[in-house]
Amino acid sequence: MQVAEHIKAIQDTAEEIRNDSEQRFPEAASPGDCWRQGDLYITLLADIPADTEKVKKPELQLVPGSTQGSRHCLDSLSGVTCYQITDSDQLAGPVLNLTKERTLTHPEHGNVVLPPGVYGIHYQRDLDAEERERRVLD
Amino acid sequence: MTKITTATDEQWEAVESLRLRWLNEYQTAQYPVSQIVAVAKLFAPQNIPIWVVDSPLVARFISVLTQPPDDNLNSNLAANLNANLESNLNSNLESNLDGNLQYNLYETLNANLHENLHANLHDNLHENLYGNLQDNLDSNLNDNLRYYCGVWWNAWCGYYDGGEILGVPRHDKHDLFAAWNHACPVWMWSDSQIFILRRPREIHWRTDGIPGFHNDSGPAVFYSPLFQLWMIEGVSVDEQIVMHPETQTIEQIHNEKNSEVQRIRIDRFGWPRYLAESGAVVIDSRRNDIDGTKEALMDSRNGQRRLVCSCPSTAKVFAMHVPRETETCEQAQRWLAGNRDIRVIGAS
Repeated sequence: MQVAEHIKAIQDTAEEIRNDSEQRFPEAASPGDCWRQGDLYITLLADIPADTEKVKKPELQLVPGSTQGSRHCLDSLSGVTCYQITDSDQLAGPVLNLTKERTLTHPEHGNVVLPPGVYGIHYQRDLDAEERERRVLD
Repeated sequence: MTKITTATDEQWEAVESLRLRWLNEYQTAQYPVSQIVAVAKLFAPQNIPIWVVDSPLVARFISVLTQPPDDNLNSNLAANLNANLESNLNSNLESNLDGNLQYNLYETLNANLHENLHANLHDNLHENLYGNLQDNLDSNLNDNLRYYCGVWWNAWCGYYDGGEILGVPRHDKHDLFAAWNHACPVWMWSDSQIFILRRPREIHWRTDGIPGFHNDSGPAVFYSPLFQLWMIEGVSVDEQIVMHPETQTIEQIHNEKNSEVQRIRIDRFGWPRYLAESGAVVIDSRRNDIDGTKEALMDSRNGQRRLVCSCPSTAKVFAMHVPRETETCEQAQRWLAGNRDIRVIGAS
C-alpha cells in the first residue's frame, strides 16, 4: 500500500468511528489501567505515591500554564484532593484522590467520568524539529 | 541629592503597565503628519523635504519620480544624517539619560528596572520588530535609498519612562528623546529628501509568553496594504504561508533553506498531506484496537520518523514526531506515553 493510501485509510477509519460522547473509566479497572483524553493520560493508581505533596490551592485545569493545554478541566473540586509529585519531570501532572465521582471535561475530546479512586495524570510527549523531547499541547 | 532606594508595589505595577503600553499602544499610535515632520526637523539637516509614508515602497516610488538630474546634489546628506542621528541619539542622549538613571536610582532598583522593563522591551523590539523590519527595508528599498531603523531605541525610552515612575527627576533631554521615539523611529532618505515611516497600525504578539510576533490569519505587523510583515511564532514568513498554505508545492517546501521556515511550511501545509505527496516511506502500520483507529509509522523525506494516527473523538489526523530508533506503531505509542508502566484501555 502506498503512503497516500495509508493516510486515506487512517482518515476514513477516523471518520467512521468518530465519537465525542461521554466515556466512563471502568469501575472494574485495575491499578495501571490508563485512559487517554487527547494528549492527557489518566492512570488508576493503587494509592497516593509516597513522593508527593498536597497542593494547597488546586485548580480545575489539569495542564497549568498553557492557554491551549488548559482545556482539560475537572467539572468540580468537590471531593478532590490534589497532590504534586515532588521530583516531577515535564510530563508529570498532578495526582488526584477522588472521594466522589468527577468528570474530566474537554471541548473537543469526549468527557471522561472518573469513579472514586486515585488517578495519576501525565502528558503526552513528542519531539520538536531539533529532536528535543517536549510536552504535547493539543 | 539622595539616591532613591525603595519603590512601592504600586510603582512596580505602573512599570509593568508601562511595558505593555510600549509593546502595544505606543507601537501602533498614529501621529499627525505635522507632528512627525516637526520632530524630524529637529534632527534633519536644514531645507530638506520631509515626507511621511506608510510603506518603503512609497518612499521608493517618490524617490524615483523626483530623482534630481544631478546625482551629486546634496551628496553629503547621508553622511550628515548619520552623523546627526548618531550624535543626537547615541552619544548625547543615551549617555546623559542613562547616567541620570544610574545617578539617581539605587543600584538594586536600577537593576530591577532594567530587568523588568528595558531587557523585556529590548528582547521584543530589537529581536523581532527591528530585525524583521530591517530585513524588509533591505529588500524593499533601492540603491538610492538608505535607512535608519531605530525602533529598538523605544526600549531605552521605556526604561527612562520607568525611571520617572520610580521617582527619578526628568532629564531635560528626555523630551527630545521621547518625541523622536514616539514620532519618527524609522528614517529613509535619498540624496535629496527624507522619508519617515509611520508606525504600524496593527501588531500581533505571540500569546505564549515568548517574545515575537505571530498571526496565523493575517499580517503580524500591518503598516498599510502595501507594507506588511508576516510572521508565525516569531519567524518571518511570506503571505502565502500564512494565508494560503495549502497552495505551497512540495518543491517550495524542499527548496526552503531556512529550517525553521521549512518546519512552519510543513506544519501549515499539513503533515499527513506532506507525507503523502513527498515520497515518505512506510515503516509499519496497524489497526490500533484500543483507539479503534488505524495508524502508520513513516519516514519523511526530511529525515523525521512520524507516527500518523488519528483522534477517535475529533477524527483529526496527526503526524507525531518520534525517535528514529522507533520501529513499530506500538513502540511509537508507548514512547508518546512516556514509556511508562501502564495499560491504555481507552481513548477519547
